[in-house]
Amino acid sequence: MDESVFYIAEGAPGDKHSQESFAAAASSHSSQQHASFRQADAPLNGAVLTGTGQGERLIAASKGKALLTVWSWGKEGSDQKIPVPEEMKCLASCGQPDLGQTSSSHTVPSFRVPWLLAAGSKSGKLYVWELASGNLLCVKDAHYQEIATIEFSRCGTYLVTAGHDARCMVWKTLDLISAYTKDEHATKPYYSITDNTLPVMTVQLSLAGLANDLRLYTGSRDGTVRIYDVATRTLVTTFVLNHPVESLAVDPASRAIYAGLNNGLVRTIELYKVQNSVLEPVGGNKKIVTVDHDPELKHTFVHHQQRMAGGADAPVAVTQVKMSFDATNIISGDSLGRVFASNVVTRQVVKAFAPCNSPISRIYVDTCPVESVNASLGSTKNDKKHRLIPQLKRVLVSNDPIEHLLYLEIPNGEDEDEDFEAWLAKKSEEELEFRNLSTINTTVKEVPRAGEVGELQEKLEKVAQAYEELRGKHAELIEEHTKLLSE
Amino acid sequence: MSIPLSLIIKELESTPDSILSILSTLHYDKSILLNITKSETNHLISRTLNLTKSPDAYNKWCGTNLIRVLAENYTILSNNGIVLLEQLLTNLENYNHTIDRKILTSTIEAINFICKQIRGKPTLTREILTPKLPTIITKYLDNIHFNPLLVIDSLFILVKHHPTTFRPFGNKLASRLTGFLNLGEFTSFPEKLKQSIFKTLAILPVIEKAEPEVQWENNVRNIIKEVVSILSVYNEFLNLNDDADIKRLFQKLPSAEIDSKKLLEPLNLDVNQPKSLFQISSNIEILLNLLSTYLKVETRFSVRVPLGLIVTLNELICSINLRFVQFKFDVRDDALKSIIKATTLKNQFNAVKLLQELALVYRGNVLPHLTNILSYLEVLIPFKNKKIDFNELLINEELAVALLSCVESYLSLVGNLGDSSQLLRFVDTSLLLVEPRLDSSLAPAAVKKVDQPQGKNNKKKKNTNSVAMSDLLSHQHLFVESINSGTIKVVRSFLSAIISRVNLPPTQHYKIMRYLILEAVNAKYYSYEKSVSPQLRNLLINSVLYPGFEKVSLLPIVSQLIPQDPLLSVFTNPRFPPLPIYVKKVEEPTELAGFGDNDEDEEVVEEKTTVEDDSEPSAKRRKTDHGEASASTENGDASVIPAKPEDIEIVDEAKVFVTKEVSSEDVISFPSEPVVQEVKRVEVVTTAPVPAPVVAAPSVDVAESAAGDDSDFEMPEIDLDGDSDDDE
Repeated sequence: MDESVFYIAEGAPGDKHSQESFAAAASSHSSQQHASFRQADAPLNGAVLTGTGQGERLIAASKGKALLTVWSWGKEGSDQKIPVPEEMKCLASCGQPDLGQTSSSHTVPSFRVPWLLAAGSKSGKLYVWELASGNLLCVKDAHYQEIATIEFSRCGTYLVTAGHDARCMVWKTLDLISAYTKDEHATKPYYSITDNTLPVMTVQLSLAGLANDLRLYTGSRDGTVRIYDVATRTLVTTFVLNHPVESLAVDPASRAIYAGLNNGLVRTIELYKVQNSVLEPVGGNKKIVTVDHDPELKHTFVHHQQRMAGGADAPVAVTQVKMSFDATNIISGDSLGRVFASNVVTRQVVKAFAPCNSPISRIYVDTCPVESVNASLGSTKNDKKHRLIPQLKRVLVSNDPIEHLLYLEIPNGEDEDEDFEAWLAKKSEEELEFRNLSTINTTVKEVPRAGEVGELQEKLEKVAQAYEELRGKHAELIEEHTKLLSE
Repeated sequence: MSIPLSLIIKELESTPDSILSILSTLHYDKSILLNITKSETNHLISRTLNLTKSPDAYNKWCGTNLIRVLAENYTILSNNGIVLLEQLLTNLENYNHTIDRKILTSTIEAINFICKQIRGKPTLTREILTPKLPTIITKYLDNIHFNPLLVIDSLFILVKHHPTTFRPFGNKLASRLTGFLNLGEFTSFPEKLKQSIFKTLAILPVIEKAEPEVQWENNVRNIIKEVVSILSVYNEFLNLNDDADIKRLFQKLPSAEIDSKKLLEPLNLDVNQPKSLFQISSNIEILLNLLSTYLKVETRFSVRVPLGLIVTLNELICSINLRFVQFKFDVRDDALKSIIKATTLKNQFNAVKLLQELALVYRGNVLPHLTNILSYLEVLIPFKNKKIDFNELLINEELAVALLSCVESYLSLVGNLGDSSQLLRFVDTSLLLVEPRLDSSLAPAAVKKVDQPQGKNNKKKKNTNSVAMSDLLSHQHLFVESINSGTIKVVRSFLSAIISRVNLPPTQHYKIMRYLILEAVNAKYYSYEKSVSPQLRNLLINSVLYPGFEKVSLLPIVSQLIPQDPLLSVFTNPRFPPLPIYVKKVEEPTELAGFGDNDEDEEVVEEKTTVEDDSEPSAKRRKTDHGEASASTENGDASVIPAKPEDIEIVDEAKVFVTKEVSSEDVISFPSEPVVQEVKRVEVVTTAPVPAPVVAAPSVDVAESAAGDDSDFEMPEIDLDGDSDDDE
């Protein structure tokens, strides 16, 4: 098992063809490099990594062009360039919804794509594609300005967009994709948040098994981090910070928020505190909590403020923060292209990754078996025809469902292998069938039938005797005859 | 029980007493075959072969199964595999109907097992499997009629794993299988065999040399066309053209050309023999099941699935519904009418099953069609006078159950469905299905009819052939029809899906809650163990997790019904998540960072603290650690615990945070003697995070250790309370 950290940068401004850019995936625990992607760059939040290991892909929006570029894990060069209606600024993907208890398990097929790809454009439009068909299911004027980030809830039920127009929208995925049954223009956002005064740069959704527990965390350049309850559509807590918030990471157990600020600090916002010797949650009930200045650096990670030797004096912003698998480390990337893993308790850097030349635009952290990330071990049997994802359509799908055509590999259902115990039990039953359990031994013996056979035997003996006699006589006669002839 | 090898060989000399112990010995005691000498191997193999060659059925059977177990050993397989396999093939070749069926099954199983053992190993495959494979396939095809299920399943595996070798036999197998489909009695084949035939047909495109995906898609489209052309037969009986929707659907869907090659033989319908009309539904059943198998059997290549077409096809089948479509005037025969109705219901049942499969395999990709699918499934519920027609529902219970199960699968794809209006009828249906049912003969009308005196003359004559029906009135409870357990199961899981995803209107919500509380109380009362079934338990828990509009929580009721549920315990004893903590070391000048964490993943933590010495068994350490933790917390509960005033603040912190989940590797503090050692080791841990990996950025490293170190290590001394006060 290994933890893989993937990061991609925005690309140097002068580098028109992304010659100098690269994206990489490396272990956060060892010096092992898992994969690298050449000429890969993406605007802030403008890249999607579908997973870690063979068969997964990196999809990134191109800088200044209406193009998405696709890389396959394990191949350095890009596989596909897909034209899209306009220049995209941020991307998000959503895996297949979980079937819960009724699910039957399938093994991962070698060709696989996530369910949906959502993209936010420079003009504030939201695009949603179904990756297996390439159908453009939804185009929506979601924001008045550029969309800064898009996030799907883990269950795929909600889609959250946040933009430079200081608004944040929660959509129901089902409403957006019901292209065949509804008038697409009638789709209204599930919840429209207009609490912020400056661009909302980052949103996070909590991991929630119950739809009622889903929390939305937003971070804005107006220096606030807000927590919303998605089910009831209410603001729960507002945290006010001293600096604009550029990125957020939320502890998987919802114990703390880590906010990356534009002055190079990562600030821990605890969601539980010891108050009068009792553990209490912080905030709630629409409270506004001012996050104090932290002169003793008890709750602050400062390592991004360290300048590189001879570096420019431009302010450093922490552009991405992610949590490690065990939530003891945060992985953070900054506008100088550096990526660090640091421990949340000691706030020490545990690992520094190979730096990029431009601001880090996306980080993914994933845990997977060691062999899966190793490019040399994986099967590369898929030829190009069966590796490329369907072209993304540039026009909205027609509302005739009959044209819905999926391009996919049907996964393998569970192979039930008979185990030895079961086999042996079956054999024991079969053996029983060979056994004679009755008290009667039915082995058939050849018993001569007395009457008929005896009679025949007698007859045969008689005939044989008669024949013998006859033969003797015949021989005698012949002898006599020869005697007569010789005389 | 392990039998020594010498004894086994001796036993195999002639008819063994029982082969089972030998089989299990050879399987479990791997050392026997691993340490076997050359001569012993020869002995064992030749005796096994002798048994296999024996004309005696039991001996032959023993030998065959011995081969299956011997093939588990790689050395035997590589040295003697060819001989063993050849002997099995000879047996298979000589098989005929006079020989015991068990010989055939054992032989085929043994061959399958040898193939499985060899598969994937390049040299063995090249030397043994590849040359023999055509023979195996031919022999299997020859014996298909003796045990179709086993042989077809085996062929399926061969097609799947050796498509190239199978290529010459593809057509033969396909024609054999379609032959089965066209048998009149196919519909009464066992379900397993049917599935196996469908499955094998569906995987056959894989043997195509060029573009198997095109072949696959063509096959799927041809099946759809064939279904549509069969459906068009209904035009002869029903006024389908009166319904604009059906007309539109027929126009949209492709139909098979008259002279095109079809999978099934043409229908042979005769209105004067109404029974022949059942061919319509049985042919559609075959085709839809085959289609469903095509859509779920794995493909080794990417295929183009005409999902929209399939959804539309199902819409058409569900739309041919006698509630909305009239019979033509010339169809007057009641038997004919009821048969046509039965065929449409059967078609709907099969369509619903297919739809459910779609949801299970294609998951998110069917969601764009969700509203559409729900709306055409909704009309399948029998409705009369604005109420669900209960009798009609019970007659087609199978359809209703399939419907609920299908809707449940679709619901589970959605995290939360805002609009419940489309689902209300399904909820009502589900609740009706589990209502207590009185025997239909108990209906007042029926009772009256039977009890009515036939006339004055018959009054005194006692009918000796019939008994009075007084039991109906005196022991009414005996006549309550029990509800099919399958139905109950489906209804419960449907309700569970509904309450967790949809906000129902109060009426339906209360109905559901009432049902499940009554059920749970009854189940618990009548159970000797005082427990409820897992499914009902699940439903009860969901009713707590998703309260809906309920003002009063069901928690008190449910927590009494299932008192020992770990999940409900979290509700009744609410707590906060355990936080990351420092563990204060009083004896040592340095502290160590404790990753108090509820993540159970110890491996990751271990990787991080690589320096740690594992001299002590982890179980023991955990134990001591736990003892220590609970000692310091007094009552090892992680809920909100008010601190005892006499506790000093730092200890208090530990008391609040340290839970059982705190990873033992990190929080190492022992009161006893080894403590010193441990702590020394741990001392390295604190410095461990910094040095090794940071080499990549030396400047940072220096700065970090300068800035970080003392602030870091002083940290725990600052008391937490003061800190939190600041924030307030």
